Amino acid sequence: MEPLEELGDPQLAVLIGRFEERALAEVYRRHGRSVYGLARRVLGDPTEAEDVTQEAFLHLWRDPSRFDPVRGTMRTYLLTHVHGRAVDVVRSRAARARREERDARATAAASYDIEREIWDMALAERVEGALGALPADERAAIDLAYFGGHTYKEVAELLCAPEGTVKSRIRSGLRRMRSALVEGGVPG
Amino acid sequence: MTTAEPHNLMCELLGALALDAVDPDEAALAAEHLRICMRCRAELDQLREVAAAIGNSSEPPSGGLWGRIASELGHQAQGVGSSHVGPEHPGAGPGPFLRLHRRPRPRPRRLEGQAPRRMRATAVLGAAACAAIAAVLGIGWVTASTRADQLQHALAQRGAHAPVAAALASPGRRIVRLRSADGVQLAELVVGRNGVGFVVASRMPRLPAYETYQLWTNTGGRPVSIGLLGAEPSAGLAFSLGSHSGAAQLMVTVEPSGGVVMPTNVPVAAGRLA
Repeated sequence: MEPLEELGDPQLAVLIGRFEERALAEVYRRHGRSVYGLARRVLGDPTEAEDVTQEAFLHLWRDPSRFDPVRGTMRTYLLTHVHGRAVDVVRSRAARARREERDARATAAASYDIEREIWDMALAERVEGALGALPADERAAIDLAYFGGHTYKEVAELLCAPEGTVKSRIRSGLRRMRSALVEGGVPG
Repeated sequence: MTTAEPHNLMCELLGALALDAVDPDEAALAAEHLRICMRCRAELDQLREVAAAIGNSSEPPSGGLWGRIASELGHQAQGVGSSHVGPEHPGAGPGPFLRLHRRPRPRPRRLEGQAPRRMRATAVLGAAACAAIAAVLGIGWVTASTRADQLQHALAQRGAHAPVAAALASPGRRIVRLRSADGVQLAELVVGRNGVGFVVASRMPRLPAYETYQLWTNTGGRPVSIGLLGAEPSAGLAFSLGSHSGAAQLMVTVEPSGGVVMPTNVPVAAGRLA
């Protein structure tokens, strides 16, 4: 069998279905930093971020059939899962008060995928550009909902805007971003 | 809100759903709608890709995190199939992928350290492109297989997707992207000059067993059946245009499982061969 590094994520999911720990480790190597990075950004607290990151990978281990590559990439699957769990934590534990931005760690503590890291940097630039090009009200709604862990109804209160308007802003902003990213060559 | 309420009300909620920015009650109602609405599911998937791109900020966890995860694997495997953690996201239920019959777990093995792969930056973009192509082909054969032994066989046979790859590389081949009425791409097909075609990728949701997708073209203003795509079209599925190899347009309808002579429903997706 070819090296795990050469396999696509869907193939790794098949191996995880066969209890291949090495396959889960490879998925972690590829996506662990992104999953943790999102959890950390939403939660602020590194311990809580590691907890939900751990839970996301164990979720994949328990039931890899939940990952459907036709519906999205492995990274999207993991980020969607970890974001949902992180938001749950924010809402259920009233963790907002504890959240605060802290300096990112300067050094990598474990092996990681340098190829993906560089790719991610290029992607991040495009995403930042697309996000920055959005109208300010759409950007604010997305930011408060996604990174703030607020529901759209809470966002509406924060922005003193009707709930329906906020719903529309979030959707139109995401659609606008998708168009910009696809035009920029990022798979949509 | 109820599932009977207008479709466009649910559409407006999709952005908030993609960001997990809805109340649990609304999320549950949305999940009901998403189970029956392929257009909303497809758009939600797309918006989640955007959300993931926004949230894709890399930061290293502590060096001990993988060790914690690995130490839990043996314990977690004992509960396979019997438990889930928390509610699933709306529309993120079990997909058509990987309906594996998991064997009893072998004795846990301790993971060996993973050496970082070092690559020169100049090779990155090319490698990324290759990875993307490999991912597409990987998705294809994995989705086409429904049993573990088929998957294992496919893993051993790198040429399992050769017909699709050959069709894509053949001169004169045509591509058709089947889109819903509102422009969401649901499938991509390739048709060779000989009229033989394959599903390259599909995100058409699985139908109940009593229904099938049926592929059509148009000749002289009349729909002509090309064939049945089954309840769950997957990459690698072959079809033939036969005497209609010059067809300019293809469309898909949902029909009773045995198929029909003439469409009984409006197309769920259509596209031009180019």
